[in-house]
Amino acid sequence: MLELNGLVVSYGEAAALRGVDLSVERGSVVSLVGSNGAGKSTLVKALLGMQPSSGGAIVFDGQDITHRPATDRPALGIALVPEGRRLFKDMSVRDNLLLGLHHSQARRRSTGLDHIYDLFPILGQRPKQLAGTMSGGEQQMVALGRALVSQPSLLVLDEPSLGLAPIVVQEVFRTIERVTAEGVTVLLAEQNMQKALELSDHGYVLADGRIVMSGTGEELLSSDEVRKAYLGGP
Amino acid sequence: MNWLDPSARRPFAILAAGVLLAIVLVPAVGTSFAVTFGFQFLIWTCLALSWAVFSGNTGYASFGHGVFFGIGTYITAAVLRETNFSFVVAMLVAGLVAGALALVVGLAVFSSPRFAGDLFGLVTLAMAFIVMTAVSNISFLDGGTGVFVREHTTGTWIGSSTNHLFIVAGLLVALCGAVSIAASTTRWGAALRAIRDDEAVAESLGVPTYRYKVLTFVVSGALAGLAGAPQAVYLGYVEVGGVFALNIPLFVIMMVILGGITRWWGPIIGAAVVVALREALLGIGSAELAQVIVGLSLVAVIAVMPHGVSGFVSRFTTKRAIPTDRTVRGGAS
Repeated sequence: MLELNGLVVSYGEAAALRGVDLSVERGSVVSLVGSNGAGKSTLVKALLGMQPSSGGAIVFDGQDITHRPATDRPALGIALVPEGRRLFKDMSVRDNLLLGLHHSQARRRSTGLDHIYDLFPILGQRPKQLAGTMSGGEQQMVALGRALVSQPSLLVLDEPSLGLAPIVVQEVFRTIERVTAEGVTVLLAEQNMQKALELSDHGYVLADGRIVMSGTGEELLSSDEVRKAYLGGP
Repeated sequence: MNWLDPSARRPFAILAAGVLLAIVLVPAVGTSFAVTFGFQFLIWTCLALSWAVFSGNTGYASFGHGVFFGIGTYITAAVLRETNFSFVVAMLVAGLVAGALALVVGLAVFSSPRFAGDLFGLVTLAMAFIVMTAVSNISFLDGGTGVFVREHTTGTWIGSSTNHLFIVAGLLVALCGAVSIAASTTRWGAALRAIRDDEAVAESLGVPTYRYKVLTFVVSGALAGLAGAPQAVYLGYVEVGGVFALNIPLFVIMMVILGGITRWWGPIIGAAVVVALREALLGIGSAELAQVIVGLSLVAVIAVMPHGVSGFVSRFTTKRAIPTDRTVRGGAS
């Protein structure tokens, strides 16, 4: 469904991605792990068209979308849960969700807000609450809802557990599992390697702008190299 | 336009009833002072509402709103002087020219992300100086001496009575109010506020930010240009120093801050307060002192009501939970 072929992204002189190859199969959960500054967020931004790439290609459903503008992503069926949630804080929960339906293609695919309210009943109970006044976990639900309301074929999550209490992190991952059970393909960029790889079909380890390792979630979790370098294991 | 909220018809009804009541009652029973004062309030209301449509919603503060108003005033004067067209035609031309100016400025300014932040304000301020200088030197518009409008409107419907100016201004408020309501209840308006909060995320959701910013800036400028038309007739004599005075956009911004942008009617309240305050302070005899008092009261209001009057009011009508770090179990499990 998604192929990155030798993707290069530079910020001025500094290269953030130095030729990344990655593929995501339809219906799978793929995680992109690595330490802070490895290039995970840059990859997500490039995929969403928010950061121009200087080399390589992004191919989605057979189309080269490398240079398509960010505003085209909803038409392609790619939705983002951005790092830090980035909700429209002064707007109500309902308006945040409705903005997920701004694109006409998103509205055409969507089955409406009730689907999101079923997934997150708490949002259905408080549609008028201003998003900025919700707790971190609730805000993450709004961010997920805003992305999912358009019925995307690929859901991209950038550090969904960042800044959340452990119990909330549990819940966010449980939600991701439920979403994938509905058949949505997920690309998950996450520092919390253990949790991310546990629920992934496939994982890529990113370091200094390059893929240094890849394999199934289990393979990576049991790999000595990964345990030593990232999980603090023996 | 796609409506977000089916209950959006109610504010339109309230607006229409209010304007209708005003343009029927005030000229009929009001003193000439009341009509003149009312006219000024309505024109300021148009400016505050039209400024808020773009700057309030998108968060791009423009310091050049007076330019569109001023251009509208000068275009109206020119059309009435040089042609035999009616006032209504002159007003439409004024709106079109002001909108065209906003289009040119908007297309240029928003094409570069460099102007995304505070620089936008500086660019609009620069635009004000450029247009002001241009008008002073274009003899067709002014040429530096000021122009008389009164001799071209005597004997016409619009020039014969302040009541008629009041009615035109009332209808313009209805138009500006309708656009403001649309901006607060449609998908278009929600997208503008998304631009204000997080432009990059708005784009990832498919909001064509460049097009929306340019078009809304055009709408905002055109509305201010329309308001310039009755103003030209009211003044009777227009000159650059008065029409393009920099305190006009500053007063407009002050009104919107005071009234708040949480609700569409915030700028109307702001305009009412500032216009009434200025009028009340005329009695103290010093214009400078009056300005200082208006400024200080703005500071005082912001201290008490950081989101303006409309934000203060909606605190009691919008449900806001106290933020907590607790997660609600029923949510996702």
